[in-house]
Amino acid sequence: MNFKTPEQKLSAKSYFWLVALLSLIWLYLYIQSKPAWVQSIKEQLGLSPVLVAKQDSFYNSRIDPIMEKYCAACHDDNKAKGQLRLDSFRQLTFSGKSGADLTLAENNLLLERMKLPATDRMAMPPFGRERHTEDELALIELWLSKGGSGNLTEDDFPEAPAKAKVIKFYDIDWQKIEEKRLAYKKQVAELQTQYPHVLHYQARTSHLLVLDAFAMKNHFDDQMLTHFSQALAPVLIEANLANSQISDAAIEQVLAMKNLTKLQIQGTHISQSKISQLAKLPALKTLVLDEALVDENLAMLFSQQAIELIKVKQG
Amino acid sequence: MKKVKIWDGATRFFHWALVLNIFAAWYTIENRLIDLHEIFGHCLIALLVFRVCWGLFGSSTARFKHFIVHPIVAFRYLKQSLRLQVHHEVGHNPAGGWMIIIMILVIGFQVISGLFSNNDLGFSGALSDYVSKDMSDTLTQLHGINFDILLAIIWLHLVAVFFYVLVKKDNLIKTLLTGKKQLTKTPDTPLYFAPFSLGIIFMLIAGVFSYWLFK
Repeated sequence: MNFKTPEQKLSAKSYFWLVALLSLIWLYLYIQSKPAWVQSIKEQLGLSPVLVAKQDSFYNSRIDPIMEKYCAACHDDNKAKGQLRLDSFRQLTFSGKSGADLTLAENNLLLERMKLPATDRMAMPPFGRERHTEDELALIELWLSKGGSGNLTEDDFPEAPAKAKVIKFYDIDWQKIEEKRLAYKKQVAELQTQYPHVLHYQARTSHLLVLDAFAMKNHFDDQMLTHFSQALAPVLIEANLANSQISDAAIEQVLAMKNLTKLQIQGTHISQSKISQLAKLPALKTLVLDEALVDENLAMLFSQQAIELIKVKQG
Repeated sequence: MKKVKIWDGATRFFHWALVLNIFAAWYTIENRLIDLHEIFGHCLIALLVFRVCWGLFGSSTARFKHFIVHPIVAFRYLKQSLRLQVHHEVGHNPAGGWMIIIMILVIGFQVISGLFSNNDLGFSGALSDYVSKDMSDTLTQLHGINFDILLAIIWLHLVAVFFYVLVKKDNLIKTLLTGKKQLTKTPDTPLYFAPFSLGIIFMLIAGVFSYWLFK
C-alpha cells in the first residue's frame, strides 16, 4: 500500500534530483578547495604543463632553503597545517586554507605573517620557533617583486646578496666504526702491549691503522714487521719504517698491506732492486725513501703508477 | 489526528546542543581559537557520554533497543521509505537508528582523536602525553580527515531529514524542537519518559567525567 501524505507537493524523484544537483555543487566546491587536486587533474588531462620550479631556479637555490628551514616542519606533506605546504614551489603556489596567492608581491599573506612581531598570535613561524632573519625576508621580497616565479634563475637576480657557503659536517656513526674495529680489536690490543707506541688508529673516526716504528728505531726489524703484517695487513693504511732495521726480506710483508697509502722507508736496508716492487701496491700514494736510491727508471715507474716519491737526503 | 509527545526534553537538548557544539568546534578551529576548540570538544565528550547513558536508561524513544534493528530490516525500510511505501511515526525510524549509531561512532572517534592530538604550537590534547609524538601526529591527521567524513554524514542526515520534511510532509525538525507530533493514532504501547531529574544526573556525571579529562 502506498503511503501518501495529504499535502504532498514535491515528489521523491524531484527531491533526489535536487539532492544530486546540490551534492554535485558541493563536490565541485570541495574539489575547487583542493587546488593541488585541480592541478593534478589538469596535468593528467594534458590541459596544463607540470607545475614545477626549474632545477636551477632562484626559488630552488635561494627561497626553498628558507622555507625548508623555518616552515616545512609544519607545512609539509605530513602535517600541512592550514592546508598549506611550503616544501616546494609547486605546493607554495597551491596556497592554503586562505586561498591567497602566495606568489604575489602585493599584500602577500605569507610575507605579512612573517613580518608580524614574533609574539603576535598570527606570527609565522609561531612564537618559540626559530625565526627567519631580515636578510632572508628581504630575499623573499625580492623574489616576489619579480613575479614569484619558478623559472627565473640566479642570473635574473643580480642584486641578491651572494649565497652563503654551507659547510656540512656529517654525523659520525660511532657504532659503525666500533663494529669495524671489532674484527681486529684483539690483535691490535696484543700488538700495542707488545710494542708500545708503534701502532695507533689513523683517527678517532677510523678503523684503519698506522704503523709507526719511530719509537723503536733500530730495534724494529723484519721479524717485527712480519708480526704486524700477518695480523693486520688489510687495515694498515700508513707505515713509517724510516731508520729501522728492515731489509729486502720484508718486502713480501709490505706487499701484503694492500690498503697502504703512505710508506716511509728511508734509512732502511731495502735495496733499489726491491723498491721497484713497491709500485705494485694498489693503494700507495706516497713513498718516502733515500734520494740515493732513486734513479730515472725508478722515478718513471712510480710516476706511471701515480705514486708520489719524496726523496730524503740522509745526513 | 492527535498531538502526542515523542521526544523528551533531554533528547531534544542533546540533539541541538550537539549541533551547536559541532558548529562551534568547527568555527573555533577555523579561527585558530584552539583553547575554545578544546572546550567545545570536551562538551561533545560530555554530550556523547550522556547520550550513551540515555540510550541505555532514558526514555523509550531515546533507548538503543527501541531503534536498533537488524541491518537488513533497516535496509528494507529505507528502500520502502524512498518509494513512499512505509512511514515511521514514533521515534527514530529503522534506517535513522543506524544513522544515530554511525554518527555516535564518528563523533566518538573525532573527540577521542582530539584528546590525543597536538598542534605543534604548545597545544596538546588532554591524553596526548600518553602516546608518542608520532602517534599524536597521526591522530591529529586522522582528526582532520574524520571531520570530512563527519561532514559527509551530516549531509546525508540532512538529506534524510528534508526528505521527510519536503516529500513526506513530516516535519521532523519541528518535532525535535517541540517534542510533540501529530499522529493519526496513538502508539500501541504507551511511551515511557524517564524523569527529568535522571537526565540531570546523567548530564552531571557526563560533565564531571569530561571536566576530569580536561583537567
